[in-house]
Amino acid sequence: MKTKTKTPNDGTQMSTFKRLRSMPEFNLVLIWLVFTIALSVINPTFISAGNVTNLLRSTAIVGILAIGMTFVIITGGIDLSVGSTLAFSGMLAAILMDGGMGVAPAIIIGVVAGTLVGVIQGLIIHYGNVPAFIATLGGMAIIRGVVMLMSNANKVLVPSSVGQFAVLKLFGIPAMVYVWLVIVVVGIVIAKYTIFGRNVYAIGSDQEAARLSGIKISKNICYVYAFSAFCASVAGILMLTRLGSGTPTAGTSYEMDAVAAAVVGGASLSGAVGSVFGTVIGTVIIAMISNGGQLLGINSFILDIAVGALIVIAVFIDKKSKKGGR
Amino acid sequence: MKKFLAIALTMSMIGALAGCSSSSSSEAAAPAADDSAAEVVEEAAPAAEGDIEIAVLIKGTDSAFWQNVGKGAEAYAAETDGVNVTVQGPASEADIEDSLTLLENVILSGPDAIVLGSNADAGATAVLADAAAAGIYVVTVDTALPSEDVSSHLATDNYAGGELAAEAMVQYMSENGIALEGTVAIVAAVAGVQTIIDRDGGFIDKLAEIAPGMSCLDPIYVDNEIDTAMTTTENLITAHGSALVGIYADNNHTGDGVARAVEQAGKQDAITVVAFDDDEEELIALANGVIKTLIIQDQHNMGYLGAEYAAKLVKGESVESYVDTGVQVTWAADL
Repeated sequence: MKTKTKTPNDGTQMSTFKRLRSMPEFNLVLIWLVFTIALSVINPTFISAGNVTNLLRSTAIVGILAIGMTFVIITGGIDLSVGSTLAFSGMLAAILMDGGMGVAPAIIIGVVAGTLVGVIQGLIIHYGNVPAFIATLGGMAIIRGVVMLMSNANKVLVPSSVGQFAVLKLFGIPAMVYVWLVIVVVGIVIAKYTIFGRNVYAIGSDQEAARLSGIKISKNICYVYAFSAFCASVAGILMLTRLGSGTPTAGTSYEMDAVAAAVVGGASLSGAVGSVFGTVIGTVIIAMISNGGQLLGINSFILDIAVGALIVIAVFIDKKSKKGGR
Repeated sequence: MKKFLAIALTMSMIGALAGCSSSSSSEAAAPAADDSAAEVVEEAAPAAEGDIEIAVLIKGTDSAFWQNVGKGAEAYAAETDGVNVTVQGPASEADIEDSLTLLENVILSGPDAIVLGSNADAGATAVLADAAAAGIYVVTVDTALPSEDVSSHLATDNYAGGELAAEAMVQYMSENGIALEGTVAIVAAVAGVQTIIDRDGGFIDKLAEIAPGMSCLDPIYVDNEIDTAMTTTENLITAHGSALVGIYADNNHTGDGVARAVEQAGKQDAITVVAFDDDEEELIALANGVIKTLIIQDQHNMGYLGAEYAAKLVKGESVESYVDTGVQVTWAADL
């Protein structure tokens, strides 16, 4: 495993273990490894190519939502509207295709319209001074209502060629997973190598200090919610290809799955803490519980309990270890 | 900046207006419900002299099944003079709480009769007592409710439907020379709903009786989400491999999800899929040989008879307290 962790400023040589240990995602990767090894030993099917494919494909949609959510959470905000935005972009594209528009323009319009929803929410949060929780809670209901109105709460079937994307594989890996991967890479680049990324952490750490140091809060907040809505819109298109129809109830409660993935991945709801890599691991760990549980034939209600417990335990261990480390 | 404030203000005003109108209508209707039952029945009587107002409450508007129930009721209204039907429902069958709220609101609006499809179970009992107190007749469709205030119940015998599904699965396997052994999975819509419990129970009991060599897994619940049904099916295929010989999907959304996943895995020859209901995607899957048999309920009849019975009750005619609206075991050849 490669580590890019820089040696500390005092210049002392650290052992490889210590360097790994200093990674913020160390505990997380450890939990992930333990889960993977345990599940593979209990049922070797778990590590089979077929199952890894299943796992990744079923995780891609929530995984993409969670990347956008991570940025929102790092600013100290939350975006509860992503599940509705997912349904909105998918349904809009489905209705346009149903009306005879080509697949590509319909998808582009769906994603652009979905992203605009995020811009509007960002503006309301910043200029209206409405707390993110409230603005996006309202947004969640408004957007879902719009989806119901657009579709009359009916499913809208799309040409079967659209569904082909969901089954498409490149080098044995579903195409949907590559879309997730692209979003992950974009997320990592934004977080680590752009001014915007640094601003996001600065705003989450102390908005007033960030403003005084010359960061334009309004612009950055808008970008963050726009990116979250963009991720939700892309996820909505993937859901459309997976289900083969625009589904009015698609993505219901997915916002909570996305928040859970980011939180298990180490993001703090009070802002400034979180990483794209951590969120990816968080998403995969949560998905492994339901996937592994189903492989082992464990009662589905027990899996719900396990996921809930994991969310709490992950945060508990994280806080505990950070306190001990300092 | 002021523009955005204006937008936000306008939006909140629209919200406030909507809130006002709904609360004022409930205020107007509420005293009627609080008055003594006798007075309310008098109030309901003049309405019956004009058109008979029948409110049809369905479990979920996103389901083709429930849309057909609504269409059946509307068809009766179109054929019959002096009967008006309105169809309403929450967006998804999983929104049990919403369906209960909707029922409460409809009772306050005071129709002559309600044709009710609800997952609310015991939660509806107290609410239906209010309906009875307001002189509103209630006919339940699809799912029975534990209430004294229901005049008639029209439904598929779901336990018998589950049994037919098991028989169809075994029949298909026998006819195609597939040994009656291995694992059968049940992808179930929602937990804790009597219709689903009966469908699964009938299937499990019948399968154990006629194919004791096959083992049936516990039902896996998917919150009526097609996506979750797909993921579950993919996991089942991976977990059990060639041991998995059959999947039973107990409603339309699970049928859609199971069929999609089985088709994408190219397992339609290895896994015998039997499903309930008949939405568009299920019928396509049946025609393509992915689903072998559909257990199709007569939901149009359910809605039509529901409206007819409701109208008869309002006119003072007597109706049967329970009618089995029947199921059709449908093979690809029947299409």
